[in-house]
Amino acid sequence: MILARTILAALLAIAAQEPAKDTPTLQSARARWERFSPEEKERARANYERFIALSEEEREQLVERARRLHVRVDRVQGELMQNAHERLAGMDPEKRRVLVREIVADESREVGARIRGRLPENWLERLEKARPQDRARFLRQFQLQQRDRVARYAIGELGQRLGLPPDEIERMQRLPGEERGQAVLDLRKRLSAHDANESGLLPGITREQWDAWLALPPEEFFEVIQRYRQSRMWHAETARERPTPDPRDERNEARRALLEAAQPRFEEALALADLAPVERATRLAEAKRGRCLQAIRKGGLLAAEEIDALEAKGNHEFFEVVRRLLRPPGRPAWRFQDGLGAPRR
Amino acid sequence: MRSECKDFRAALEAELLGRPSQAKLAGLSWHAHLLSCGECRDLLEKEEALETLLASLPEPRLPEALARRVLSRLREDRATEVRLDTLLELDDEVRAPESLAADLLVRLASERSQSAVAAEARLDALLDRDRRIEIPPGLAARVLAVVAQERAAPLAPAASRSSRPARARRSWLFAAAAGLLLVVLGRALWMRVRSERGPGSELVARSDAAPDPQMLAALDVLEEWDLLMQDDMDVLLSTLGPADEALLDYP
Repeated sequence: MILARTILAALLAIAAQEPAKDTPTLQSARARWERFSPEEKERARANYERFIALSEEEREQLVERARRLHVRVDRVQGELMQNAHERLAGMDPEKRRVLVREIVADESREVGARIRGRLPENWLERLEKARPQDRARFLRQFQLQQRDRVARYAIGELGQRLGLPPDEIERMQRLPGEERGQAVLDLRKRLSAHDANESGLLPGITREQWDAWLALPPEEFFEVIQRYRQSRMWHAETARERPTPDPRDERNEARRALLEAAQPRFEEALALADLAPVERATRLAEAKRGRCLQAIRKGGLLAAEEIDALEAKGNHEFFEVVRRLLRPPGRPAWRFQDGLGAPRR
Repeated sequence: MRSECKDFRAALEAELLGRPSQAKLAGLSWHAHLLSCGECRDLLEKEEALETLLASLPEPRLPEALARRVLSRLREDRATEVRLDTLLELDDEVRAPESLAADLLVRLASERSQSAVAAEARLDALLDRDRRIEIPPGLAARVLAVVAQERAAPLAPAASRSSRPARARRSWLFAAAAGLLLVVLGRALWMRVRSERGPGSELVARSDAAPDPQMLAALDVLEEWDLLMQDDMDVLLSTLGPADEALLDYP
């Protein structure tokens, strides 16, 4: 038995060491590896040992999630290099790495909170009550259920709005789960283009900007639209639908100011780059709290006693209240019926 | 024996169970049966006399040295068991024969029943003797001294009782355990030397080695490991793909 196990382990080790073909992805990973500092290489090797100890399913999910985080890291790094090239270039690589990850973590929390506000109640409760080690698995179950059931419905609705032939709609509905999800993104992009042709460009967007967005693949197009959506939140109804001033406009303006105040600011993180990470995080949170409180007071989003109670709360609870104030009533998509490929109500 | 005698003796036996006392027996002396039965009266008096005698004796105590010897012996046995368990766990192939437990239990039960029968026979023989109590002076001290000697005596030859194959097996187990310990210590020493040497020296050798293609394929995970492994639900949710987020717009 022991001998058999040893032979099997040896065979697996040999199989694992078999050289893989150098695909473009692998070549790019190799090039990235070459740019790693010795510390980064050592850290990656240590993490790899932990990674291969996971089950195959866990590894697959981690690869998918890491790919999305890495896209975010690349974008943040690009924006930082564009806006603060000199400051970053002179920074110690390890310090720069830590700083970028902090900014990405902050941004990820904002994105995650936005998604949390849109999750179905029963799934949100299940995820919140789950043990940390079970959450990724539950989220995966939710993902699969969405791709299976909701994606078919979405393809049906989008296909009808685009006037697609029924057999084409059925073909897309029969695609495997992940491809079905991609088909939804593709159809939403096509519908956005169609709506823009029919009803004109989105407010605040130039023709060049719109054409550049349309040139993006569906996934990136969706991300850009999400960011646009975020920036225009509380905007849409006010100017276009009500030419005369309305008390709701003031409240929406106050929310927009709060949204702006709650956004992570790269320049603040950069200015505090020399501090230890914990101290930097504390100072950044303090600054963000101050901005949010000011926006809430100025916009009259809470009563005076509610503001006093909010001030006494810890960071986690404080920012939960801020997110609740920013959460639109109902699904955000309902507010953007034109030009964003969202479902009709 | 009359049934009233049987009832009285049963009541007496019940009082004598556990730790009898003179007070309990005094309660029985008011039993109605004693008015008409001299034999039972005598029996009760004798039992009372015996209790009086026993109560006057000092509480028996084990010598302190004996307690230490027993504890140290128990520790030795436990250590051997633990070593044996550890070694047995090294190989799944080692299995006790299925009937071993049953055989042992049968053997144990038969040995116990034999010794119980022998003890009962000895007790009966003692009870059949003359019940008149004649206690020579210093009897209690002598009895306790003999008991102490008897208890101490079996410990000495115990070591010599272990058979040669058992000794050989035990020494083999010790050798195996020592080998295992050496391996563990060696590894611990190597890890310590490695950590004391610091990351620098080994880093150069490992960093220069060609990266495993499997590892390169997982480079995103390895780079974002800390962020991915954070216990933060919002960070986890933020890794949902655009397609999954788009589907949240639909009921």
